[in-house]
Amino acid sequence: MLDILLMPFMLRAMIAGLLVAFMGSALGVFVVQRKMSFLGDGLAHAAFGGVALGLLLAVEPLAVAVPFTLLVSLAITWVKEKTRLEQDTSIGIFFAVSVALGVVFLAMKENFAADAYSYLFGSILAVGTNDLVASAVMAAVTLFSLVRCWKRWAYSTFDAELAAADRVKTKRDEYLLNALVSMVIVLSIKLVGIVLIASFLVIPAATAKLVARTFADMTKLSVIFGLFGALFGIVFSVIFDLPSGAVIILVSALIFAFTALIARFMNR
Amino acid sequence: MSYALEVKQISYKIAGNQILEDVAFAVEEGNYVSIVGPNGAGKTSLVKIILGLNANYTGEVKIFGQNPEALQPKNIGYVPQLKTSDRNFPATVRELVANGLRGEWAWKITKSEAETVEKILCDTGLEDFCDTQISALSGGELQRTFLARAFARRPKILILDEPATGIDMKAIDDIEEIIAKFRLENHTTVLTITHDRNTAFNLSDKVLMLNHRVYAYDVPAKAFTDEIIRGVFGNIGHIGEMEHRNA
Repeated sequence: MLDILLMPFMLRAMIAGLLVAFMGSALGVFVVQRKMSFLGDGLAHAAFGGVALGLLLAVEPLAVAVPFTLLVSLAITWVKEKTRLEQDTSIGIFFAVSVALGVVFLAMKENFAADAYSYLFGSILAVGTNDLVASAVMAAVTLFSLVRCWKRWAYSTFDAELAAADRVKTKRDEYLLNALVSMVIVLSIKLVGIVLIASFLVIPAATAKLVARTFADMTKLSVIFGLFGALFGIVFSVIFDLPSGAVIILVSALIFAFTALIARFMNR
Repeated sequence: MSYALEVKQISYKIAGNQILEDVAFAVEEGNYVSIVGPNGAGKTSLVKIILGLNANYTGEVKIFGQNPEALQPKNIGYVPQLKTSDRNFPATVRELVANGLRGEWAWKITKSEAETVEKILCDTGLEDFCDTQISALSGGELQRTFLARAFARRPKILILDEPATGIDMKAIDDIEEIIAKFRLENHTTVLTITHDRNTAFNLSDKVLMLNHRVYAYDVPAKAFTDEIIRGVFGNIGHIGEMEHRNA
């Protein structure tokens, strides 16, 4: 068993898994606290449209999914800012259009099922060196952004109006945050799969919120829970020969359930 | 005479609806001014323009002679309506006041910041709540925390948006007392939106009677005449209904 865990593909998956888990769980605290969980779903389905277009064009699907998802994320934020529509409505529109486009693109391609399956449900076997490099670069960008912006993002997450009164550029920050979230989602596709990405963003942060007294603690705990879920999820998926994404989410959900019990016990 | 705030012919429309029309008034340094008017009168819109949160207006605003956007945020202490903030945000009273001190959210509060925060919390009667999470506070306690937060940088002007809404009479009295003490010690100018005409009458140097346009801007006795109240509120308000709590 140890031999498998030390094989190059497994090490690649493990490192990529920990990198995207770090990004997802660190940004997830903003997603959860801003009640943007639906954004994760919307962008994941936008990524599905991009991946399907990539498969149809026979080019690297993620190379298409990255700009496609980024564009949708900016469009969702723009519609929310410039119209009377709420963000969930805006997401709902782009969510449906992206899935519809994805289905049409896949229908135009023959024998797409096997390709599509690994993107929909995640497969550690699909993680290549390029994915690892992309994840490392994006993790560095995320870390840099968090170091630079966490204090502003936390402030506007608490109260955007107060933050704006202190001259925090809340709208610019929202675009930046949503763009980062969309990048993390695309990079997580191979590991977690489109269907489960939103939970990957939400569960560690939600778990942290159960026990954290401060937002800084919530951020730290979310990252710890995210890394644990990814690490043990990947190991168990290899041991039991199951899709990595589903196992990561189930391990994260177990951590959530256990933490919820502890939190309830502590609050008595 | 030096003015803390000058509002010159402010007009503002949303989707063709005139929210504010030629609103003009000036607040002398150290004065307490209440903005009184019915729901939808444009009170919060006016405050947002003064704070520099809304640039889609015509006219001019000067705070201590400067445009709101150019003014250092530390000069303004802003207390928003309670309903705008996320009460489920994981934060303690200490953190929220430290946020007021810094103008950003704190990853970690330094020792010197902690000392300053402790003093502010003592001054506002919140010393027993330092480590309490804001989700566990009553409306009155949370409002006092927001006041402490606004006091943190010793602002030259305090702007309050309906500070008494949703809290009980005892908490309102406490808040009025805390504001009065801070104002006395710091010669701070106060601009507050209120629905409580008794409070406005008793505490204000001047009252701005607003319903899209200014109906009166004068000392309380002259601003709260039957005619002006009827003009602003229609027939629902009458000077006779007001009790002068200080009387």
